[in-house]
Amino acid sequence: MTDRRVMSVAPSVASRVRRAQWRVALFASTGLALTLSIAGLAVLRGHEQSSMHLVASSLAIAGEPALRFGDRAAMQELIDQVAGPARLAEVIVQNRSGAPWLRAERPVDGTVDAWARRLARALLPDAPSAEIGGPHDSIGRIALRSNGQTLTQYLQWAALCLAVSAAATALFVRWHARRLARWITGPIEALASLTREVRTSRDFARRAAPAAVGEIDALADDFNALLSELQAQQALIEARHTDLRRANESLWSLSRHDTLTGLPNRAYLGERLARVLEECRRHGSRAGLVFADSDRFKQINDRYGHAAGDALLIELASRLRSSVRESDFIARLGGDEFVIVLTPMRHPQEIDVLIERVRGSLNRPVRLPGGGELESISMSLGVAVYPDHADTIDDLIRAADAAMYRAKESPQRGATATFLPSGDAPGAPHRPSRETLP
Amino acid sequence: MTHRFPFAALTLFAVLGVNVRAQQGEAVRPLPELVAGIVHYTRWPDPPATLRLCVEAGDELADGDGARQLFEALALLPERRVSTVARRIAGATAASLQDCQAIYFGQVSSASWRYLLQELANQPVLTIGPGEDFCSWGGVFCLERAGASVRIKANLDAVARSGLRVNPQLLRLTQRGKVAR
Repeated sequence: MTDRRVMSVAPSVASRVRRAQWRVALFASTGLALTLSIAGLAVLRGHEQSSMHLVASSLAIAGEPALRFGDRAAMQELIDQVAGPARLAEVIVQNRSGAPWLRAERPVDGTVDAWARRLARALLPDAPSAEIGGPHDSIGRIALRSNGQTLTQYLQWAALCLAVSAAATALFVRWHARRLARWITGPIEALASLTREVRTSRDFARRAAPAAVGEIDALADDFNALLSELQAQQALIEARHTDLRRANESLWSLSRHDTLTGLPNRAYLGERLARVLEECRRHGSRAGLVFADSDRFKQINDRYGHAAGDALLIELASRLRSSVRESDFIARLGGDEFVIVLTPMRHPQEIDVLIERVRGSLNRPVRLPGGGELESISMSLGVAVYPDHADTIDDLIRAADAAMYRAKESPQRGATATFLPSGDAPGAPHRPSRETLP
Repeated sequence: MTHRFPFAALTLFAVLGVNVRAQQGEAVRPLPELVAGIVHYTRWPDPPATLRLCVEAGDELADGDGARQLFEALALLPERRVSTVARRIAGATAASLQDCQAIYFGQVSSASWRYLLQELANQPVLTIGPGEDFCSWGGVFCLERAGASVRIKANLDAVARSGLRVNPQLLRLTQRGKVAR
């Protein structure tokens, strides 16, 4: 039962239109045909009556002597002559006294003839008749009945015309319904296919074309308005998404950078070092790590204030950044500790060049907010090289840190020390293997 | 009933029979009615107010039932006054019958009407006589008894020459018998 309901398809616009038009056409043509037929029959009845009356009058004139002289054979002959062409079924002649004098009836020829006679009798219940003789000298009366052939011929023609017009109407309705249906379903199908395309391609910029039918045009307008809203919403979502991504990116960047100097922080350094060491391990190349620590930062901070300390750190970061290569990496670990990663390091002397440049950049006066001015910045530098001094990130940092402490403990301010595997331990004082003046 | 008729076309002497047969259950039309009917269908060129039908005195139509029936039949004719006059026709001359527009010869012998018919030729006088010979000698209508029926014959030549106009339907009736035979 439910299957049948599923199986049934809603009738198409074309079939509905065709049915409606067919009904209207059928109603109109049937009404018209019936009215015309009835009117035609009424007119024809009048004609039939007058023509029968005329035949009766003619027979009355022609047959008068026959009646007067009592010559039935002559009258019969006359009637036989006229009955065929005049389409008579029956002729009755009465004499002066009203008694039937002669009755001539043509034999019934088939059912059609019988029905035609019945029809004629129904339409003209009173047989048309004429007086025989003059108006003052009536010698009898002649009455006759039509065989209805005219009527049946008319009805046959009417039926034929009805059939032909019904066929023509059917053809026209078929053609016109198809045309009308195309007119309606065309825009609807265009709308439906547009909907499908928009859904698959998510191209909300597309619009439905205007339709020739008012309601469908209104539907297309509404559809276009809906598409516009969807488009606007889509744009809004995309904008919001972009904002979020940017915010996310900036948060991510913030999480990996030092807010004061803008340099990468310890977390970022860890990531970068992991990548660099991985690459060195793969290529068998070297990477250098320089640990830098300000010698007098605490004193300067105490003396000139935190703002001056911050300014000094910013200046320090800027100078360090400007003194390293594009491929090198510099990070602030916290406080006054900075780390420089030298990569790629093709030659051991490259680290010396770096140190030289760093020293050069530090050896310039610094103006601090609050009126303080330093002739130069003094920093202790510790150097460690992968894979010469350490294999892992932590060990490498520790080695550089240890070297830096050794430099710091040297009597000279702003010393540089390179890690010594034999003597250096993190936090333990060592003699620097090479000392360079700032 | 005054139809024009192409008499010229019928100058040929033709005796055409009208067969008035007795039908079953129908009496033969009596002679007076036949005579009255012929008078009814005939038109004179210059008719007097009252037509005179002269009948041989002593004939069956001159007195008795015949005269009465003839009178009644003539009285029924519309727009026409016809009076019956009994005359001696046998041996009479055309001049003595000048006031007769119609003459019924009845049983007058052929010897007496042959001369008279010659005299009446070309005159508008309706002559009705017995037997085919009557028409042959120039009579207009002749009645021939054949058993129970009476046949009317017309001499179309005599009709044409007399100047009388006879209802074509009646002439047609006289033709019918000829054609049918």
